[in-house]
Amino acid sequence: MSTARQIEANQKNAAKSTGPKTGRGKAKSAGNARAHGLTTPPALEAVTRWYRTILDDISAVPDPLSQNETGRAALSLAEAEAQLERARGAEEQVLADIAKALDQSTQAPGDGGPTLDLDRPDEIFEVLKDEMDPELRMMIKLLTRYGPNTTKSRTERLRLSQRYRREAEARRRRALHRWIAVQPREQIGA
Amino acid sequence: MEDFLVAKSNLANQIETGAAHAAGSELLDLLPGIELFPGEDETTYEGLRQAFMADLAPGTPYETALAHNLITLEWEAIRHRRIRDGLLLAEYRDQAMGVFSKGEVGAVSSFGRSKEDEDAAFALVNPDPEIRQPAELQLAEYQITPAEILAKAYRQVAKSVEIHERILSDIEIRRRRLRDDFDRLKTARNRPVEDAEVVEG
Repeated sequence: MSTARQIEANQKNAAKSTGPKTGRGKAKSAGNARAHGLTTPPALEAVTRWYRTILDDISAVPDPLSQNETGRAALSLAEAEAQLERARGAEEQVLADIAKALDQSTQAPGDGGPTLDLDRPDEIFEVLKDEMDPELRMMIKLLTRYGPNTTKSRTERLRLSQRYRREAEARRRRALHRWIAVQPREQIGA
Repeated sequence: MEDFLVAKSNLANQIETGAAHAAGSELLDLLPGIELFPGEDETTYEGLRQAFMADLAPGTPYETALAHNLITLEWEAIRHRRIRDGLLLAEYRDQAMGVFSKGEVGAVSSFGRSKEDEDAAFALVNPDPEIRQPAELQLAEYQITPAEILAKAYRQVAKSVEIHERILSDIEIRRRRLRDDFDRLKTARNRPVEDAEVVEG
């Protein structure tokens, strides 16, 4: 258990770091997760599609204000499924990029001599290194290290999309358990 | 993505148990399928799908969607294994390129190597032993073993390979959990209603 002194120190430290203070900082922080949109609520169309599939009713319409336990559990599961579908799609896109880059690198050599692979900035650097002024060289160097087409950046995107997918799967699991739990009760009461 | 082989598997075709009906089929038609990447075999995927569907025998559209999730996880495991092996193989070949062009293990840019060097490096990873053997003999002339190249290649791509290894072990856990949930859902549907009375029609 924390001592009174530790609690006091924690409170003091927390007061020093309460997030962005300026309007610009707050606006930037608010948009942190907007780049991929994976944390925003899923589209109503996708939720409705899943809601109908779960209830096996092609004309069912989700009602967020419903007091019916089955309807609420179905809606919660539908939202979780729609979120998971989106996360899986994003991950598949990253994997497709990795597979595509790999596929290009495994093509057997042609007869056309060397070609500049724009997906490999290290090659651009190799070719232009003697022609460049130091500033441009530094920029290309940064591109080779942090550019979107490096293996490192693709791996990082895959890691991030995996994280969102795992979270979405955990949410779906909770919603599915709730859905399973309401099944027999409704049947008995029917 | 245009150049990708798009093999949308229509989930409506996946109801093969006879338990689902027309409305269910219509619902499943709306659900997303899987896109096959270049080099992925549609026949293998179809075989896997049919085997899973026969084993799981989903009885409702949602159960079919979950069964499809299980198939997707299985396919993703195959996909990650393939990418992991491909990354290592490509790096092995790139490192071998250095042996043929400079006499030492190491990657060479496409402007620093000849067509012959590339051919030899590609031959070295060819599954056909007849094509591979001359390249292996050429390699032996430099007194460099395939193990040396493999070690350097593995060091180079360790980080990129590691994430696929981790996802593979993770998939195993997720697959078991989902299978467990799928079985629970089926059991809940099939559970007899206590005190139920059969009403004569």
